[in-house]
Amino acid sequence: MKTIKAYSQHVNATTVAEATAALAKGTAMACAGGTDLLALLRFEVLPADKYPQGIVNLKTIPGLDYIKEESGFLKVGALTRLEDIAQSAVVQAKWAALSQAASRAASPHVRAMGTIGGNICQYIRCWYFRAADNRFNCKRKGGVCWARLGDNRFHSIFGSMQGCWAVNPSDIAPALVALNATIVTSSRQIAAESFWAVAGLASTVLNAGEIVTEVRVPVPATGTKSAFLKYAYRKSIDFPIVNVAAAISASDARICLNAVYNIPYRATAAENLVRGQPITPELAEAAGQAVIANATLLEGSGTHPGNNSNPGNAWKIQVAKILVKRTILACQ
Amino acid sequence: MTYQPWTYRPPEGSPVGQRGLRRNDGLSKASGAALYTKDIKVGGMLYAKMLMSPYAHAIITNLDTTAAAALPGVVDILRWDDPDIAGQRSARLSDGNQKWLCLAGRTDHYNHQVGVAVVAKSEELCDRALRLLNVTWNQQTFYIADEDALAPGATPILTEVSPAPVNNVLNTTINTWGDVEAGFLASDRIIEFTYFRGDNLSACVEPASVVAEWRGEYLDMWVRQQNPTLIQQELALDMGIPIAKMDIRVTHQGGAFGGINWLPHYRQLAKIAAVLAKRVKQPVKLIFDEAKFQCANDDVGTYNIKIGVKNDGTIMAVSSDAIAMRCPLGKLRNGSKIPNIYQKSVWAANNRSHRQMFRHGTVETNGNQEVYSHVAGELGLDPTDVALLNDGFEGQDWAAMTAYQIANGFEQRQSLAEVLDVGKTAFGWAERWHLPGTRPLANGKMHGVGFNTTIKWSNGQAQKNVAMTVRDGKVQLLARTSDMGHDSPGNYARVVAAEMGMLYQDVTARTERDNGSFDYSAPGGSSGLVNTICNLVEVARDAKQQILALAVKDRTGGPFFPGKTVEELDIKDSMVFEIANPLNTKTVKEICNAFSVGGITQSPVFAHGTAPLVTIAKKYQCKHAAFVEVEVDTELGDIDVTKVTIVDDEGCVINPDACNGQQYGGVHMGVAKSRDEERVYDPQTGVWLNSDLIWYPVWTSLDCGPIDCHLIETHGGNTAYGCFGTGENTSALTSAITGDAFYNATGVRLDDFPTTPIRVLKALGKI
Repeated sequence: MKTIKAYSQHVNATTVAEATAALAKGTAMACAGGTDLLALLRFEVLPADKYPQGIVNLKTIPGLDYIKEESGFLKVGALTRLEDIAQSAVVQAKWAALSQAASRAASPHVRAMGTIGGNICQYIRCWYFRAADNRFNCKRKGGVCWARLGDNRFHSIFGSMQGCWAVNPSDIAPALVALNATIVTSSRQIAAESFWAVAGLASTVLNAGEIVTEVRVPVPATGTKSAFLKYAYRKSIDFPIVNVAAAISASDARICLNAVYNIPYRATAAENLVRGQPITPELAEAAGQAVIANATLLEGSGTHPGNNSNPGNAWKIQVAKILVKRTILACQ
Repeated sequence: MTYQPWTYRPPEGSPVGQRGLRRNDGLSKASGAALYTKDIKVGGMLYAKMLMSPYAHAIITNLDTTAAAALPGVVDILRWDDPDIAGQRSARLSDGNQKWLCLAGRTDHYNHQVGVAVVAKSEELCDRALRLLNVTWNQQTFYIADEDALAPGATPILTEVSPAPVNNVLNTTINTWGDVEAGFLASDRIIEFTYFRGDNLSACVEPASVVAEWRGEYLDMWVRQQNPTLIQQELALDMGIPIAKMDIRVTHQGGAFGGINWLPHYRQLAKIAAVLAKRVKQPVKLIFDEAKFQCANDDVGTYNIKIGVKNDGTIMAVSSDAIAMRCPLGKLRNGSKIPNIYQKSVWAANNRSHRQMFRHGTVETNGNQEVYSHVAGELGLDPTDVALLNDGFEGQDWAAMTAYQIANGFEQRQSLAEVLDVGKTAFGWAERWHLPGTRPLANGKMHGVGFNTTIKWSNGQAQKNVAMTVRDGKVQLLARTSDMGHDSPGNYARVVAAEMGMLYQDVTARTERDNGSFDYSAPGGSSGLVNTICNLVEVARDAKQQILALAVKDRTGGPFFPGKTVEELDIKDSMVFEIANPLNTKTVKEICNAFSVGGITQSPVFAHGTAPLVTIAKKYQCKHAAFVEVEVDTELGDIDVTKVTIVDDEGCVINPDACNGQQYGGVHMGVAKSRDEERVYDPQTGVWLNSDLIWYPVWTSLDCGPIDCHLIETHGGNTAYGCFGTGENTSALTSAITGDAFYNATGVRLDDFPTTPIRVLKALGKI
């Protein structure tokens, strides 16, 4: 593996203000657990002119790793490790979807390093975008979307934003949307469902110099049940092929998928079906069907049955349908 | 009487077959102190890396190294057209015999290491220098699918290979045994199908690297290699370096199940390292970027199978017509009574990667799997019954094997029957097997079981020199060996200790040493042990006799056992004792030291040589079998492997703990490969898209249910004690087993491997 390309500046920030100042020029990148950033750097994923000139280490900021229930909210510091969230009795008690999402993210080793802030800010997952040595000048880097005509088995099933067919891979994100969370940053509060975007290389609406400081999740209404399900090749480590989080009460339903679109995908059609209805297998089935009604099929282009080249994304549509159904049933 | 070492049995109570003995390499590996090739550092060592191609097929039309050469710390840049390397070829393959350029000015696959090698004072400087190269490429037509490369009118590729492929065919293999058409005519029914195996890779633990250091006209090398003799031979033949002036050392090897043994491009690395070290007059470590490890397996292909079978399951004929590197029916030939077999494989040039061979044996075990599975499925039979019904060898039934056993002093046992008995009982096959698609589970999934069996294949004899001395009471094996993770040195020590009557801990055998021509274990690994075990036994017996002779030899103060003869003495626990009076003992140490000239460092014992040649034709008597249980989620396409049982007939178990370790690791690799592992290429560029361990799904220990490992011993190998090796066979055995289990779970055929969710959903008509 290549050694990491040199960068000129390394800041161990001790306050949020110091970090935001160091990041404000847009030439440095923030590092929390580092599990996404180091891979980006080591594999030289980014274009040369986007390679950071500096790294701002956020882990050295004290007081940003906490889990507490306060004033009607679950408050999780941005530097809180995923494993701590997964193990937290406080989270498990009322925010099952978040707890389950944290416990299924990555591997035990990565969960012990990765933070909630990093997880929701991670870059898109696309093997063209992520190819080593910036091999593909893809849409997000100013070029064309190679996945559209290439191998798109892991790509969006709900079309593209700005011509990009990559997906957001966060396991935490759909849980936060389903649980109606708010992302607190160094300068504002953002509703979770408005937090993600296609913004050049970045996958969030964060401005230069803006960092996540806290995730705030309201205490669910009485009777609310939430759940998170993830489908991946390997149970132990993989990014999601599809994941789904749902929070359903007698009068409300919030359902969000991820890894199916550029940003977490709020399944409003399914929510409308489920809202206020008793959960039954038939209802869940119909909700799953409703979710994929708007799916965009990318046909495979494989010419030989055995080599499985570019099988397309039809299978993800099937997986999404079933996973939505099962997640709803898990909220019974 | 011909030489029949399989009639030998390990002495009672000896270390052979004992559990719990400390591994030779246990402490160093457990503590992290064990050295692998990439860990090697020698004084004044420089580092080297090579340019990696961003294209699947391209020619370098211009290369400007000015900026790289100007980088402080860069010591040398070797171009492909430099007289020191230009035109040098390497890579003899076991099939085809083609040779590739060591350092080519063109690329045959994405991330091919081509064009330039940079030498610098650190790895980082190598990377920085490579980034500064200004390379102009001329892209060429590329082929990822073999079928495209073989299509009429396809552009010739791999044209720099010598000899060049003809019509993009690297090699064609045809084997015929019996009369396959007559066999089909004699059958009650014909079964025809095609199975596919997608591209996959080794995902070995250790990346390739090589250290070369010239000391005057002598070359010292540290290599990552199962078979260091191949490196030595090639450097001698192709570069004119005298073997006597080369010292090739191997460290521990990182779990590639034999792949590196054959990996030709490693020999290219060794040559380039030797050239670089000579140019810069300093030691050089050439490092291959492990994140882009390209070599793939040899089982990729499309196999068209035709089977003729009687209604009772007796297989009369099998044919295979394949586009693949290898043929799939060789082990069926060697391990069944099927009288008529035909196989043809066309190995196509392609731009996926070079020289595919890892977890060797997979091609043929997959052939077994598919044939038995389809016959059982077609006839509604238990596949274990089909396998047993067709058990035999080389087209003959087991009665013929029994005659062979009687004629040659083997025990009269039918390995497969015993393997199935142990395995089916341990697995609970009788309760778990059912007709296909008939057992839904309470969780909504479908229950299924899969099965495969083949011959074991490492049981040959190699007449390699073995030598040993006894110094200060310790037996020292003088040899170079390559430890592939079996604890090979410890296993040799067990055999020698057993035969000499020494304590296990009083026999030392080390890796990381050359010791001249004593390549007693090459290749390393399980095949190394079985290849050389006859030699170990015979030479150890010689050494023992030498010690006993010293025990009765006159010396100042009289012999240790006055008035006794060698025949009246024996050795146990490193003590020489009088058979008639076991309390009369002397230690081996005091006897040998008494005859050591000039202190304790000179050995008065020097035993060496080879065993007699086994002259009877080798047969594959010993079998192994695997049983897998799955739960199939028919909505999501997921095959969850919940349990695996594997039984290996080792012939004779030298080290049961190591054998179990190989079984466990092999099954884990094999089942993962059967279900998930597949390389994916971009159809537009030929770039390998899942070239890291995030995208390429090597299983972790959490991804497979319990693996239950069993060993039996029928002493059927053509070696001392009747040994067979174990290692890669366990991985190969299970590398298509989820297809059979999926069929049992759903009643739907899935002959497209790996059995990923996409393929499952397609097979089930869900997409």
